[in-house]
Amino acid sequence: MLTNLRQRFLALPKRGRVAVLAAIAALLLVVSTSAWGLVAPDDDTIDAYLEQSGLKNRTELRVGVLKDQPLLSYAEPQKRQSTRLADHSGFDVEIIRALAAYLGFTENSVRLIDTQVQNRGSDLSNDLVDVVVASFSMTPQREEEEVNFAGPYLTSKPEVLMRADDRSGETISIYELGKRGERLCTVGASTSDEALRRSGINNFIGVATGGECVDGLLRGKYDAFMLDDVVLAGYKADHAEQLKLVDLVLNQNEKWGIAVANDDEPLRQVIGNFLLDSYERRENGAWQRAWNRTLGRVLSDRRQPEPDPYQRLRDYRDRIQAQAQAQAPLHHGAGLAGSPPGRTPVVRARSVRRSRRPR
Amino acid sequence: MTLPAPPPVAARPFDRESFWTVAVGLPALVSVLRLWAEAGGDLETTLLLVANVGPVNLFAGLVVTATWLVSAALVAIFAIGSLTHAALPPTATRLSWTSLFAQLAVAAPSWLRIIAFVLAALTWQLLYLPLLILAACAAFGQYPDRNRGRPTGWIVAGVGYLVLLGPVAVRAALGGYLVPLAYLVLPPVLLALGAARPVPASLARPFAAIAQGSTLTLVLLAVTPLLTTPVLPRGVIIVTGSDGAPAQPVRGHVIEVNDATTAVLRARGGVEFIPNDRIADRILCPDEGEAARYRLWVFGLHIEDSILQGVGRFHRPAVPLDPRCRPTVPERQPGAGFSPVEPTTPPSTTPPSTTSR
Repeated sequence: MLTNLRQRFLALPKRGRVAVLAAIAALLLVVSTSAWGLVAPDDDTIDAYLEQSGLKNRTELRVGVLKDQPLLSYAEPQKRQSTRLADHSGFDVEIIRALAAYLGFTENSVRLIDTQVQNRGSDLSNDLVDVVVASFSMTPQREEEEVNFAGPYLTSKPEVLMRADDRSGETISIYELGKRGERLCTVGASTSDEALRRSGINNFIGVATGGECVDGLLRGKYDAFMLDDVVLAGYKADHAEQLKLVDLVLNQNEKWGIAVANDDEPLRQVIGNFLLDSYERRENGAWQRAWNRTLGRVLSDRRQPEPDPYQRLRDYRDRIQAQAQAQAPLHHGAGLAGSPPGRTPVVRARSVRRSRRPR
Repeated sequence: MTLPAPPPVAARPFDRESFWTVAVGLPALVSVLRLWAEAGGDLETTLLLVANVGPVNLFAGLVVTATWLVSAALVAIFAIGSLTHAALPPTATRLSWTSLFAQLAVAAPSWLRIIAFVLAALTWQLLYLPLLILAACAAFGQYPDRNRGRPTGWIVAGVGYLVLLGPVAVRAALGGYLVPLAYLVLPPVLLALGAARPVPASLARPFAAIAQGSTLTLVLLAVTPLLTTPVLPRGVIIVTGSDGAPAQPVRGHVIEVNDATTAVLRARGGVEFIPNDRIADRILCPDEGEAARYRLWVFGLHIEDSILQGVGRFHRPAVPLDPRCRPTVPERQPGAGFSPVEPTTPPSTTPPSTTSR
């Protein structure tokens, strides 16, 4: 039978043979890919990963935050005890709002729990919180010992906050900073703390919260407060007249991550996908909206840092992305006049930032 | 005076009566089978669904979910039938397996061909449209051939294809999406190689047997997911807790709403009648099967959307997913009962029923 077919095939002219092979290839293409479509795995979705994560069967999302960082994550002193999202403001809070919705929690089922810089990792391992969004730098040591990170969701570099009447110029070196001794303040267990110690500076003051450093700075107890620029930006915005930001000459860039418990890889992947999703949506992404509303008012125009690679999980929202991607070219050309109504907020946010005046 | 020539004797090996019986009866049968599958195979639930799902809704639901499959089957019949035209016996009297599609393709009126291809173009995912072009070329006998003169038209078509779909093919290659890449690149290449050319008579019959067998197998395999596609919209009902307990979601499909209760077919099976005064919120959620597989777009349309879906999405961009559609927050326990808001019996004699958290 097969020999017979082979003989018939070989008896055809060359072009006829190619045509028959092409028709068979087309048939194979349809059959193989359709069969694959029917048996393709469906456990690579956000929902499937959420079902495997530590959040399964949780009625509330407990998020560890710092509450004394204006524009980043802040609650009025009389509302520090509140765990409601609505009582807080700042970039981290906006990110948490979007992340919670992505994870399946409405605004009312999110609890923001006050944490301290030195307790961020232990709060997670003691199951006091589910995720931590609190200026947590992704360091290999922390990833190995304490927690797992999804990120980076923000990058920062150490800078220095000083009183406006301080005689120092626009930049300062870590050596000059070290000479301030006990009049230099930073937050204990922070990466600035580590950077100072690495440079052989040990006689500075390490306190529990940034607010203490700012108070000391305003009262004249300290001369300088060293910490990440995005944190200092908020304090600067609150005390625009009294304080100034001084650029620290130090080649150190921090990547901040959203921390999850060490054994919760599914949740880490889901949060990584949340960041990737926001990154791909550019101006429509959760990150850019959060930035424009908060830190973007003080710091310069920034884009979301590219997240680490994560396994791409499938989600219902993926198709909606078409709008963001399809309209993206409009931004580069002169097509803004033709952009549909959905784009207007972004355009407005940009013009606000352009007309920003120093506060 | 010359008499008009007698109409050509077309091969019409099946009678119209049985065709229309199948055309009308099969959708009805499939609809009922879908209700059965939706009810989880439970007879009582099936009967409840039958009582509450109108025939028009059922038919509309079937049209929305099954048009692509019906048009796919017709397109396959016409394309393979034209390719294997040489397998037709000299005198067609009755259906024979080795020339089944060829006979059906010859018998089909041209309006049916056109409708099948138009429906396919509208309802197939964009991803499969290159393949539809190949099938259309085969079905309508259009293929590049040196004996037919200069191939200018084909070159223009090829360049147009490259301009339209080249960028997305490059993105598919960069993104590592092999299946979409194959679907975008292979059909025009195969067309150029002569895949739409009728198969020579010596090989037409074996080719027809294999192609027809594969088509029937694929259609049968595709019927299973079709039967399990939900008939009713998927949603979440938020049920308030009694005695100040927090509200809890019930995930499933709403069967019926009357002035006292709302009947919900739960996602994990079973029907629950929820008193309307305990319902805090209703949310419509997308189906799990809608999660896209590839992150590829053509002119703003997602590659897994059909033209109809894509145009619809442009017209009304989808709203963001409601967080309560996610499976994170635990569902209300089935059969937890609904104690009245104001207990009519004294609490000392009957302990209030508790809702599990």
